[in-house]
Amino acid sequence: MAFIDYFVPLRRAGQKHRSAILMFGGTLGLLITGELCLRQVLDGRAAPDPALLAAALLQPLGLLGMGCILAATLLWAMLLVRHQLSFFYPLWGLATLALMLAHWIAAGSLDDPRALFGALLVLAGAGLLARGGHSR
Amino acid sequence: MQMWLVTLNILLLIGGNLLVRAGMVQVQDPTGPRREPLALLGSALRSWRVVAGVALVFASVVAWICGVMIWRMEWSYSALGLSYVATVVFSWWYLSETLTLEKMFGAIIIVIGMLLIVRYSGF
Repeated sequence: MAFIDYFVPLRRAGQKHRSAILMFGGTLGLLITGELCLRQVLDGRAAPDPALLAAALLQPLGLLGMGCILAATLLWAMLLVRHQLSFFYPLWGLATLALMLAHWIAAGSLDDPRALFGALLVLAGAGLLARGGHSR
Repeated sequence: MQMWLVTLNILLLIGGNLLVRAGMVQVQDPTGPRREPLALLGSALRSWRVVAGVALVFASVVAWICGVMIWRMEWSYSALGLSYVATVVFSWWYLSETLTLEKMFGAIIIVIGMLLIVRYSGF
Protein backbone atom coordinates (compact mmCIF):
# COMPACT_ATOMS: atom_id res chain seq x y z
CA MET A 1 0.00 0.00 0.00
CA ALA A 2 1.50 3.32 -1.05
CA PHE A 3 2.00 5.96 1.61
CA ILE A 4 -0.47 8.28 -0.11
CA ASP A 5 -3.17 5.59 0.14
CA TYR A 6 -3.37 6.16 3.90
CA PHE A 7 -4.81 9.61 3.22
CA VAL A 8 -7.54 8.39 0.87
CA PRO A 9 -10.12 7.90 3.68
CA LEU A 10 -9.33 11.43 4.92
CA ARG A 11 -9.78 12.87 1.45
CA ARG A 12 -13.01 10.93 0.98
CA ALA A 13 -14.34 12.18 4.31
CA GLY A 14 -13.29 15.69 3.40
CA GLN A 15 -15.18 15.54 0.12
CA LYS A 16 -18.26 14.00 1.73
CA HIS A 17 -18.45 16.60 4.53
CA ARG A 18 -17.14 19.53 2.49
CA SER A 19 -19.96 21.95 3.27
CA ALA A 20 -19.83 21.23 7.01
CA ILE A 21 -16.05 21.68 7.06
CA LEU A 22 -16.35 24.98 5.16
CA MET A 23 -19.11 26.27 7.44
CA PHE A 24 -17.26 25.28 10.59
CA GLY A 25 -14.02 26.73 9.25
CA GLY A 26 -15.85 29.97 8.49
CA THR A 27 -17.36 30.05 11.97
CA LEU A 28 -14.01 29.48 13.60
CA GLY A 29 -12.29 32.03 11.37
CA LEU A 30 -14.85 34.70 12.18
CA LEU A 31 -14.72 33.87 15.90
CA ILE A 32 -10.93 34.12 15.95
CA THR A 33 -10.95 37.37 13.98
CA GLY A 34 -13.59 38.80 16.32
CA GLU A 35 -11.66 37.74 19.40
CA LEU A 36 -8.41 39.20 18.09
CA CYS A 37 -10.15 42.52 17.32
CA LEU A 38 -11.71 42.69 20.78
CA ARG A 39 -8.43 41.72 22.48
CA GLN A 40 -6.68 44.50 20.55
CA VAL A 41 -9.30 47.03 21.62
CA LEU A 42 -9.46 45.93 25.26
CA ASP A 43 -5.74 45.36 25.84
CA GLY A 44 -4.64 47.92 28.40
CA ARG A 45 -8.05 49.53 28.44
CA ALA A 46 -10.17 46.79 29.96
CA ALA A 47 -11.68 47.70 33.33
CA PRO A 48 -14.75 46.53 35.25
CA ASP A 49 -16.35 49.94 34.62
CA PRO A 50 -19.29 49.52 32.16
CA ALA A 51 -18.85 53.00 30.66
CA LEU A 52 -15.17 52.40 29.89
CA LEU A 53 -15.94 48.96 28.51
CA ALA A 54 -18.69 50.33 26.26
CA ALA A 55 -16.40 53.10 25.05
CA ALA A 56 -13.73 50.54 24.14
CA LEU A 57 -16.19 48.19 22.42
CA LEU A 58 -17.79 50.99 20.37
CA GLN A 59 -14.53 51.88 18.68
CA PRO A 60 -14.36 50.83 15.00
CA LEU A 61 -12.18 47.78 15.75
CA GLY A 62 -14.50 46.80 18.59
CA LEU A 63 -17.55 47.05 16.34
CA LEU A 64 -15.75 45.00 13.68
CA GLY A 65 -14.93 42.38 16.30
CA MET A 66 -18.51 42.18 17.51
CA GLY A 67 -19.73 42.06 13.91
CA CYS A 68 -17.45 39.11 13.20
CA ILE A 69 -18.70 37.31 16.31
CA LEU A 70 -22.32 37.93 15.32
CA ALA A 71 -21.67 36.61 11.80
CA ALA A 72 -19.93 33.59 13.32
CA THR A 73 -22.94 32.94 15.54
CA LEU A 74 -25.33 33.06 12.58
CA LEU A 75 -23.11 30.73 10.53
CA TRP A 76 -22.88 28.46 13.58
CA ALA A 77 -26.68 28.35 13.74
CA MET A 78 -26.83 27.34 10.05
CA LEU A 79 -24.31 24.56 10.71
CA LEU A 80 -26.44 23.22 13.57
CA VAL A 81 -29.37 22.49 11.25
CA ARG A 82 -27.81 19.28 10.01
CA HIS A 83 -24.99 18.63 12.44
CA GLN A 84 -24.84 17.77 16.10
CA LEU A 85 -23.91 20.41 18.65
CA SER A 86 -22.06 17.82 20.75
CA PHE A 87 -19.82 17.03 17.78
CA PHE A 88 -18.85 20.52 16.66
CA TYR A 89 -18.87 22.54 19.88
CA PRO A 90 -15.81 20.81 21.42
CA LEU A 91 -13.97 21.62 18.20
CA TRP A 92 -14.06 25.28 19.27
CA GLY A 93 -10.89 24.23 21.11
CA LEU A 94 -9.19 24.53 17.73
CA ALA A 95 -9.69 28.30 18.07
CA THR A 96 -7.41 28.26 21.13
CA LEU A 97 -4.87 26.40 19.03
CA ALA A 98 -5.10 29.00 16.26
CA LEU A 99 -4.74 31.85 18.76
CA MET A 100 -1.67 30.16 20.19
CA LEU A 101 -0.15 29.95 16.69
CA ALA A 102 -0.94 33.63 16.12
CA HIS A 103 0.78 34.46 19.42
CA TRP A 104 3.83 32.41 18.42
CA ILE A 105 4.07 34.20 15.08
CA ALA A 106 3.70 37.60 16.75
CA ALA A 107 6.15 36.79 19.57
CA GLY A 108 8.60 35.10 17.22
CA SER A 109 9.43 32.26 19.59
CA LEU A 110 7.94 29.31 21.42
CA ASP A 111 7.39 30.13 25.11
CA ASP A 112 7.17 26.61 26.46
CA PRO A 113 7.22 23.19 24.73
CA ARG A 114 4.37 22.08 26.98
CA ALA A 115 2.10 24.38 24.97
CA LEU A 116 3.08 22.41 21.88
CA PHE A 117 2.08 19.21 23.68
CA GLY A 118 -1.25 20.87 24.46
CA ALA A 119 -1.66 21.67 20.77
CA LEU A 120 -1.03 18.03 19.88
CA LEU A 121 -3.62 16.95 22.45
CA VAL A 122 -6.20 19.31 20.93
CA LEU A 123 -5.52 17.82 17.50
CA ALA A 124 -5.70 14.30 18.91
CA GLY A 125 -9.02 15.06 20.58
CA ALA A 126 -10.38 16.54 17.36
CA GLY A 127 -9.22 13.46 15.48
CA LEU A 128 -10.93 11.17 17.98
CA LEU A 129 -14.16 13.15 17.64
CA ALA A 130 -13.97 13.04 13.85
CA ARG A 131 -13.19 9.33 13.85
CA GLY A 132 -15.98 8.11 16.01
CA GLY A 133 -18.28 10.92 17.04
CA HIS A 134 -21.54 11.29 15.16
CA SER A 135 -21.76 14.60 13.37
CA ARG A 136 -25.40 14.27 12.29
CA MET B 1 -17.45 37.28 42.61
CA GLN B 2 -15.60 37.26 39.28
CA MET B 3 -15.56 33.47 39.34
CA TRP B 4 -19.34 33.36 39.71
CA LEU B 5 -19.80 35.84 36.87
CA VAL B 6 -17.58 33.78 34.57
CA THR B 7 -19.43 30.60 35.57
CA LEU B 8 -22.81 32.24 34.90
CA ASN B 9 -21.51 33.45 31.56
CA ILE B 10 -20.47 29.95 30.54
CA LEU B 11 -23.82 28.51 31.66
CA LEU B 12 -25.57 31.07 29.46
CA LEU B 13 -23.28 30.05 26.57
CA ILE B 14 -24.25 26.41 27.03
CA GLY B 15 -27.94 27.32 27.27
CA GLY B 16 -27.71 29.52 24.20
CA ASN B 17 -26.10 26.76 22.16
CA LEU B 18 -28.76 24.26 23.22
CA LEU B 19 -31.50 26.72 22.27
CA VAL B 20 -29.95 27.39 18.86
CA ARG B 21 -29.68 23.68 18.08
CA ALA B 22 -33.21 22.95 19.33
CA GLY B 23 -34.60 25.86 17.32
CA MET B 24 -32.76 25.03 14.10
CA VAL B 25 -33.89 21.39 14.22
CA GLN B 26 -37.48 22.63 14.49
CA VAL B 27 -37.05 25.07 11.60
CA GLN B 28 -35.63 22.46 9.25
CA ASP B 29 -35.63 18.67 9.41
CA PRO B 30 -31.93 17.67 9.56
CA THR B 31 -32.55 14.81 7.14
CA GLY B 32 -34.82 16.81 4.83
CA PRO B 33 -33.87 18.51 1.52
CA ARG B 34 -31.43 21.40 1.64
CA ARG B 35 -32.83 24.91 1.41
CA GLU B 36 -31.30 28.12 0.19
CA PRO B 37 -29.13 29.54 3.00
CA LEU B 38 -30.84 32.96 3.05
CA ALA B 39 -34.31 31.41 3.08
CA LEU B 40 -33.21 29.09 5.88
CA LEU B 41 -31.78 32.00 7.85
CA GLY B 42 -34.99 33.98 7.35
CA SER B 43 -37.07 31.08 8.69
CA ALA B 44 -34.66 30.56 11.53
CA LEU B 45 -34.86 34.16 12.69
CA ARG B 46 -38.63 33.77 13.06
CA SER B 47 -38.08 31.12 15.72
CA TRP B 48 -37.83 32.51 19.27
CA ARG B 49 -35.47 29.70 20.24
CA VAL B 50 -33.00 30.58 17.50
CA VAL B 51 -33.17 34.33 18.17
CA ALA B 52 -32.80 33.86 21.92
CA GLY B 53 -30.04 31.30 21.44
CA VAL B 54 -28.09 33.45 18.98
CA ALA B 55 -28.42 36.46 21.28
CA LEU B 56 -27.23 34.43 24.27
CA VAL B 57 -24.28 32.91 22.41
CA PHE B 58 -23.23 36.30 20.99
CA ALA B 59 -23.52 38.10 24.32
CA SER B 60 -21.77 35.26 26.18
CA VAL B 61 -18.83 35.14 23.77
CA VAL B 62 -18.33 38.92 23.92
CA ALA B 63 -18.72 38.92 27.71
CA TRP B 64 -16.27 36.00 28.03
CA ILE B 65 -13.63 37.83 25.99
CA CYS B 66 -14.16 40.98 28.09
CA GLY B 67 -13.88 38.86 31.25
CA VAL B 68 -10.63 37.30 30.06
CA MET B 69 -9.12 40.71 29.29
CA ILE B 70 -10.32 42.35 32.53
CA TRP B 71 -9.69 39.65 35.11
CA ARG B 72 -7.16 37.40 33.33
CA MET B 73 -8.27 34.37 35.32
CA GLU B 74 -7.33 30.86 34.33
CA TRP B 75 -10.82 29.84 35.47
CA SER B 76 -12.22 31.55 32.33
CA TYR B 77 -10.50 28.99 30.13
CA SER B 78 -11.15 26.11 32.52
CA ALA B 79 -14.86 26.93 32.57
CA LEU B 80 -14.93 27.18 28.78
CA GLY B 81 -13.23 23.82 28.53
CA LEU B 82 -15.64 22.25 30.98
CA SER B 83 -18.49 23.65 28.89
CA TYR B 84 -17.33 21.43 26.00
CA VAL B 85 -17.82 18.31 28.11
CA ALA B 86 -21.01 19.63 29.71
CA THR B 87 -22.47 20.42 26.29
CA VAL B 88 -21.84 16.85 25.11
CA VAL B 89 -23.80 15.56 28.12
CA PHE B 90 -26.59 18.18 27.95
CA SER B 91 -26.98 17.61 24.20
CA TRP B 92 -27.54 13.94 24.85
CA TRP B 93 -30.01 14.65 27.64
CA TYR B 94 -31.93 17.61 26.18
CA LEU B 95 -31.53 17.19 22.43
CA SER B 96 -31.30 13.36 22.23
CA GLU B 97 -28.01 13.58 20.37
CA THR B 98 -25.75 10.55 20.32
CA LEU B 99 -23.37 10.11 23.23
CA THR B 100 -20.37 7.99 22.31
CA LEU B 101 -17.13 7.22 24.10
CA GLU B 102 -15.20 8.86 21.26
CA LYS B 103 -17.14 12.08 21.73
CA MET B 104 -16.62 12.15 25.49
CA PHE B 105 -12.93 11.26 25.36
CA GLY B 106 -12.35 13.52 22.38
CA ALA B 107 -13.90 16.45 24.23
CA ILE B 108 -11.94 15.68 27.42
CA ILE B 109 -8.64 15.45 25.52
CA ILE B 110 -9.40 18.75 23.75
CA VAL B 111 -10.07 20.40 27.13
CA ILE B 112 -6.77 19.14 28.61
CA GLY B 113 -4.88 20.29 25.51
CA MET B 114 -6.55 23.69 25.60
CA LEU B 115 -5.67 24.20 29.28
CA LEU B 116 -2.03 23.28 28.59
CA ILE B 117 -1.94 25.79 25.73
CA VAL B 118 -3.41 28.56 27.88
CA ARG B 119 -1.12 27.85 30.83
CA TYR B 120 2.16 27.56 28.91
CA SER B 121 1.81 29.64 25.75
CA GLY B 122 1.65 33.03 27.47
CA PHE B 123 -1.12 34.62 25.41
